[in-house]
Amino acid sequence: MPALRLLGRRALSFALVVFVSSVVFGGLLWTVPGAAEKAAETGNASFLDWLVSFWRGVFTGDLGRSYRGVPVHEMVWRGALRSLPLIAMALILSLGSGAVLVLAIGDRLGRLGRVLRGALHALSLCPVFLLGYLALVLFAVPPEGPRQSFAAVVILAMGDGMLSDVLLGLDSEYRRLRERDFIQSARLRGTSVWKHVLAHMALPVAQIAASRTAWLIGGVLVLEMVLGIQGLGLIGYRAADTADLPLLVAITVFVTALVAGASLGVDVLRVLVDPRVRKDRRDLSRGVA
Amino acid sequence: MRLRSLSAVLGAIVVSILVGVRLLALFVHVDPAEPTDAPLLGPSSAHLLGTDQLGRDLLVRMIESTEAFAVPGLFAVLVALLVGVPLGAAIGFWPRAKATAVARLGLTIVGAWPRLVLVVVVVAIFMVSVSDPAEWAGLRLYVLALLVAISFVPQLAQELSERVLTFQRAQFVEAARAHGLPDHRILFVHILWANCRELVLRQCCLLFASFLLVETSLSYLGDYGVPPPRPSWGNILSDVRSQVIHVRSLARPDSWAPWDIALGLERAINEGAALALLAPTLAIVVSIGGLLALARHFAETRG
Amino acid sequence: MSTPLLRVENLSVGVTDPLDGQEVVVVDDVSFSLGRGEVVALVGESGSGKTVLMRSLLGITSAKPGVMQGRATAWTEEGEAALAPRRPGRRRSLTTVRPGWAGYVFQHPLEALDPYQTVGRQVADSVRVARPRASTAERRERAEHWLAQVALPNPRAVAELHPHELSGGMAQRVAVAVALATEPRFLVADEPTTGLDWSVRREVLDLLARLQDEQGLTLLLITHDFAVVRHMADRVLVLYQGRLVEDGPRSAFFEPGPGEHPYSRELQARVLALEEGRPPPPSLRAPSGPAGASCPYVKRCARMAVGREHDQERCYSEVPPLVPFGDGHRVACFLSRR
Repeated sequence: MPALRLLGRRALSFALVVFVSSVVFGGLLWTVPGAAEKAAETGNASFLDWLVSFWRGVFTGDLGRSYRGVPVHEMVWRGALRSLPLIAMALILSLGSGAVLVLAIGDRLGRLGRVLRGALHALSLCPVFLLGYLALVLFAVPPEGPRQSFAAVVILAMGDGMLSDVLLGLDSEYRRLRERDFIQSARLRGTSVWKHVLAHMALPVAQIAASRTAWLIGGVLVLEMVLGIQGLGLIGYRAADTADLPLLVAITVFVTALVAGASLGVDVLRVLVDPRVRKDRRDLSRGVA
Repeated sequence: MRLRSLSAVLGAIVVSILVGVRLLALFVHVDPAEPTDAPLLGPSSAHLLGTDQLGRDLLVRMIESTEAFAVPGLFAVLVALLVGVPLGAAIGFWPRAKATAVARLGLTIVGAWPRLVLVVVVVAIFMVSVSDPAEWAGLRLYVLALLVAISFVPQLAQELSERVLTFQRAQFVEAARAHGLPDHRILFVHILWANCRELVLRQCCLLFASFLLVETSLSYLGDYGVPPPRPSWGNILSDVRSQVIHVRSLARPDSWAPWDIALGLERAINEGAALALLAPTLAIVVSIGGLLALARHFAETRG
Repeated sequence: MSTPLLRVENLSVGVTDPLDGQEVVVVDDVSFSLGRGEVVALVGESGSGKTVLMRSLLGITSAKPGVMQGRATAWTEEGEAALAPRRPGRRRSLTTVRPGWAGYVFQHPLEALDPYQTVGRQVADSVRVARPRASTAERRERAEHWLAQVALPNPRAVAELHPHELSGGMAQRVAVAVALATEPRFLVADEPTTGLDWSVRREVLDLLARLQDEQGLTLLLITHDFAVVRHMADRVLVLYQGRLVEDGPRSAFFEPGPGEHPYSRELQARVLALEEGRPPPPSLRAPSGPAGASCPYVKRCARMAVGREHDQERCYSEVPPLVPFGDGHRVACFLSRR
């Protein structure tokens, strides 16, 4: 089963990525003056002890207390509940509008469409902090509430080149796809072209989404600072300010797992949609001939 | 064809403006941190862009801001090239070696760290670890650059290794081998120099843009970027935040008659530091746009 | 000629060169017609516009369609239909006549099949076009029928395979089945035998011949392979640099004589030389691009050495029209004689 072997390999690499990240970031923070002493107070005399207790904590759901005395898992959970929906909605908005612009509108609007796209690309050049700042000072985004969340989602879906990347990626994939003979064949025969297009666009879309996840997390960090959203980014930034070892490691490892998990998700999708990965050629044609 | 040359021209113009401004800054002997006049003046012949809320000349600060990213940005490019190019070339050229698998895993791990998260965590550690943060403030930008470069290495190495791999299997490389050309000559001359130049240049543009983005973002946020009072396009924006909110009220006139709008705009520029908002915004967008246009040009010069 | 199926009048196709944005005329003022049940071979060297001609006629163009001018008319069960674009550049293709009226067997069979779907589903999709009311089970059964028709062993098992699990010959047969399952009246096969080894090549040709006979198809073969022409074609169309230079029955094409086009002569001489192991006849390099107001073949023409002065001047100053030469035979050459 080549598919299972592939997925197993990717899952292993996922686990390794997360584990090594915890070692690297934990080790870095361990070098902060005073960190070792504070860890010793909670009964972790050496780095190894701390690492073991951290991973035990990951599985038992108890990551100890931050330097401020709040349970770490609670803070991470609270932050994630604010930040993850923003990331997810931004991905959906960006990919959705990109799909509408590329697949549904395409070249149909002519010059108007080109102008629209040019404007979107230009807007997408702006860094997230700049868009957030402009929204704050020019449009008076309130410090909380649905209007703020809406602004945050729109900014994340555009800024740091997000929409640009999505548009260019989808566009080149779609152009390549629709020139392929099997699409032309479906068009000639009068069978449904969309069935083929959707199946073949799913993987590129997922790849774009996964590759932008890391960017989005950076964007969320900045945007939460600018707009004052109590999410993972703001909590992490404050934790970095005070070198709060338990909280900071938990957040960085969580975020790394998110990024690595997204690319693992792409591999799962690849196995699901592409039969060339799923089946081994030799096994099957033997049965037929 | 037209689009390609357009992006090349745009990119070249922007990059030469950046270089020109940076060189100009070497001859400006006004301390950007010292107030020179009354605060929040409108544009005049003495201060072409007016002054900020502390009475510092905005044009001088805008020009001096290039110091924050020019050299550190190039440093980041250099580091990424020194690490990323050999790594990518080796991974692509010897795809089956054991060391390649290890290097790939390493790149996957580094690639999973969001750039800003890495930068914030490590710079925070750096700041806490040094005894006198103010003394090390100059070095901070280079630490920033180093981190941005490290986080960029996976992307560079990945793209380069894919390109090298396709050429490593190409017919002309087979032919060169059959003619007895040594591996290093094939790799450096026939693959890297002849066929990967544009790709590497493109990644350099992207990295520089990325560094500019990280630098301005962190300078805006305050704690980890350019230490005030040294200027950065990011912290100019954050400095005038309260004034800019004032701008909005000024620029929104009671009536929509053209002369009222013009009056509102004039007051916003003269009294409310509208230029302190506009100048860095445009500078950031145009710089990043130009760099990306240049990157796009390099992406399209080769198939 | 039998009942007409398709008539093409003065069709030209221009394509924009992606490198310098210049318009290049790839198909130049081509007129021909096909009768019902005919097998016609379209021959010519690489780059002569064979594939572009048929693909733009059927509307299988790439993302940027070339500019089409001219008229094409098809006669279907429902009556007559005009096919050519009303405005230049506008896509209007044979599919608007009746879905599945025309079939196309692509040059690379694996590219013509969706790698993500099983063979059976792709054939069943075609069946749906011909029989929109059929149930899923009926469609599957019909799909297996078509797979059996193209002489695939164990069609039920093949239907479960994905394209990457097929060998080259199998893939070509599946591609034929996919094209035939819409029950077309007109089938274009674009170099159906290139890339196949000699034993499979013969099988695929026999298959096409048998199906053409059984289904009463009009078959147009785009080919380099003179064995295919000799084996199957009733009629031969010769394309040179986008222009139709000869259109005649197979016998007229293969019989050397003063009536044929010198380019057809050259093509055959080359193939013959190859088969007999002799060195090919020397040739001048083809001039690039359309030759303007002269015979496109003039610089390579062997007749230029032996023709009469008067006519040779015309070869340089006029484009020779396609003129009738006896029974269903047309040649575009000033120097051809009855």
